[in-house]
Amino acid sequence: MKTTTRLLLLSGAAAVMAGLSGCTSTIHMEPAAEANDPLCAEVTVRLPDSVGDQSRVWTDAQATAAWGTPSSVLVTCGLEPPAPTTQQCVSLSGVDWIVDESETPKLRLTTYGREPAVQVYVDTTILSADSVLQSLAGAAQQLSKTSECTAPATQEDDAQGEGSTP
Amino acid sequence: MSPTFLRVTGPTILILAAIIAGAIALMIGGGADLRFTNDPGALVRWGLPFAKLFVNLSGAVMAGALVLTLFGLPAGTKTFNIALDVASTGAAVLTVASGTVAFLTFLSSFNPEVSLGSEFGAQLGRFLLDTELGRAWLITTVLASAVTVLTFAVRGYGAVLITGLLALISLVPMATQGHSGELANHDAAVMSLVLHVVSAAVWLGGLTLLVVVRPVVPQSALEDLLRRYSTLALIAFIIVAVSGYARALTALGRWEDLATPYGLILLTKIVALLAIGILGALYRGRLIAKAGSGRGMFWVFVCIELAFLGIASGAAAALARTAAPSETAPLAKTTAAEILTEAPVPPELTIERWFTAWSPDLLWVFAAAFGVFFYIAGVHRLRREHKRWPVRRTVYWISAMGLLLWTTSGPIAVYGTYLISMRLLALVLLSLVIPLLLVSAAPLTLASTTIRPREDETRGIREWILKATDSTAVRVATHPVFAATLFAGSLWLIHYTDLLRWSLYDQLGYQWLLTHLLLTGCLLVAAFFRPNQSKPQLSRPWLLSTLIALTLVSALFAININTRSDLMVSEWFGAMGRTWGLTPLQDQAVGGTIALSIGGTLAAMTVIMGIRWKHSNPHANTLVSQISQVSRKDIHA
Repeated sequence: MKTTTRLLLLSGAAAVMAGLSGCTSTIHMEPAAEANDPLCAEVTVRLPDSVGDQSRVWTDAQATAAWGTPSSVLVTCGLEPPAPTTQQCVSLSGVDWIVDESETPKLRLTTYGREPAVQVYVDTTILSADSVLQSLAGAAQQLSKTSECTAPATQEDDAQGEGSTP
Repeated sequence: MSPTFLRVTGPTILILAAIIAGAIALMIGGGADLRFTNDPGALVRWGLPFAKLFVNLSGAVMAGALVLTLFGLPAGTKTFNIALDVASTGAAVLTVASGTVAFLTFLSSFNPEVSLGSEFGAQLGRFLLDTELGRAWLITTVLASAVTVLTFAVRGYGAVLITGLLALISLVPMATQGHSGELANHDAAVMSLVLHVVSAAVWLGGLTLLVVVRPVVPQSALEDLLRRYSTLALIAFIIVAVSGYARALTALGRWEDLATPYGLILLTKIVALLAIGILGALYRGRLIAKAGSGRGMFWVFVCIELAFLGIASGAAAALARTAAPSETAPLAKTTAAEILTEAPVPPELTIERWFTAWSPDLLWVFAAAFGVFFYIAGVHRLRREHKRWPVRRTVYWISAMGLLLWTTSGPIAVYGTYLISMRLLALVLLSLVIPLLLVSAAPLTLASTTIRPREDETRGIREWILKATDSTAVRVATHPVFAATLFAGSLWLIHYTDLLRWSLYDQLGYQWLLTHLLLTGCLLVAAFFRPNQSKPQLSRPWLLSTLIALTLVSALFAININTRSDLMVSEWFGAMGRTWGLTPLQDQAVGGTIALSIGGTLAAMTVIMGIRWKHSNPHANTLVSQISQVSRKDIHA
């Protein structure tokens, strides 16, 4: 009987270890106002498991996502669509993004002409914004298109084509 | 037929029938046909199904032999040791066969250039570690080798029990791989396949063991052994038939599909199953008595049964490689819910849906059905013997089983995938309400008084129950402090680690969660409502303070869920695209309110316990205490 108890204890301990080793940390994020929009659900389920070499980590808010530890890419869905602006606009795989460079080298990219809007926050010292947007394009295409940038910089234009929104 | 002759003939018949049936079925179903693209070669195409066949047969011999050994053979005898050797042989063959299947599956799915180079090795390593399919076969191989070693090393009942459990667990990964996860109805199909594989193994392995150990079983013990096997086989037959039917329903959409090659192979299995069922009924009724004397038709029937089981196994191996009519096209995944759960969001949860939403979970359907059947049978036997059994206990039991079925197969299960509040309602019911009913129904007392004691040195259900209730492990587990810590700990751990996520993404995680909640609940209720012991584990003030502390921790858990601003498993519950009802965060708050009823029920239990003590002496007799009395009398007799 002694062996039995010992074996039971061992298997119990193994089960607990297996359970705990499964835990990963969860990143805290704030949900956007329209996070419960069904289109954001369509975006969320289509987000890739990894962006570049950064793998996805769990977040604690609806319609948000993060990659890498510490996180180098943060995605929030369900924002109010931005008003026309003079900031740079890039177009990738049919999705237009407004580029906010005020926190360089961290870029804040917001979809333009999509409802609801998705915002991507990228640490460009780790990943290039282009590669991130490329990975997220498939998901972002789920958002319904309402308008587009007038003269967006496309990938072919290479880097600094000054696009602007109407 | 002489016993020693049969010992060789039986397994030979089984293997030959399986190989022939498998080959024919592969030709009919096209499971090994040349592929238009990426053809891995004839060796892989034909080798894979046959390696899988040997996995099925050897896995069955391993698990079935261990189960029958635990249920029908006396430890320390020659028969017992030979039975363990049979299990060990099965496990050894399984190790090799599942390793072969892993390798051939790798060749078949990736069609790499076979070489001894490091690149090929690295590819194989990635397949085994990084893909779900590769991992499943790796786990099977590792577990099978562990069972091989253990069956050589162990000889006592307790250790063999653990080896047996390990053997049954080793059958699960391959069953979860029998049905592609990319196809519709994945979850339902996985559970029916796990039940199907495990019960078929108990049946087939047990029969093989009977044939092998027959020459060494004393004449006097043979009839008993056959009856015990026959009981196991009957239960296995029912589970195999029903789970096979459920599996066929998902594979075949319409009756016309029976005319396809897949349908034809399936029909072969059904005919073989029915034939064995009729044989079983025949020999259970008439032939067992004659078999004991060594004469009679019985052993001829066993050989025929082995042949049919071989046919069924061969057909099964081929069937796994044949495309099912309704499954050829992967589900078109369009909505978010379909991508996550393989089913669209159900219609809004109206009052009507509380009564009509239904999605049977086979494991718990069986648990509830067998539970009610055996309980009623037990009560019936007591009544025939003119012994008293309070009607309310029967009522408790049937309500517990009904509630269990409703929770696991009804609206709570259907909506629990999409709504946190329904998950937490399931938590309340499974971890406290159902256990209260279960323990009040005193099933173990009923079992230990009504199941006929074994006259020889073997262990039946009754002996196992008595041994278990008297074991150190159970005594520790039902210690109030341990049970309360486990209960409170799992409340928090499940909802604050990835365990909840595991139960959502993985069917095995889900079944683990249900079982875990039921078990911790039963331990808790048993620990606190078993006050009468010759040696109380805790004095009353301590017992009361433990219960109060547990109540507070549970209430705190519920309040925390109710007020937290972050969403649990947000990428699941928050990404269903549900257009009706509350937002996920509001729904989570409702769930917190529901979970508050755990604290409420525990508080009520505390009050009831206090009142009981006031009106009774410290050695009051209660329901559960009778088990320990019975066991003590029995074991120290």
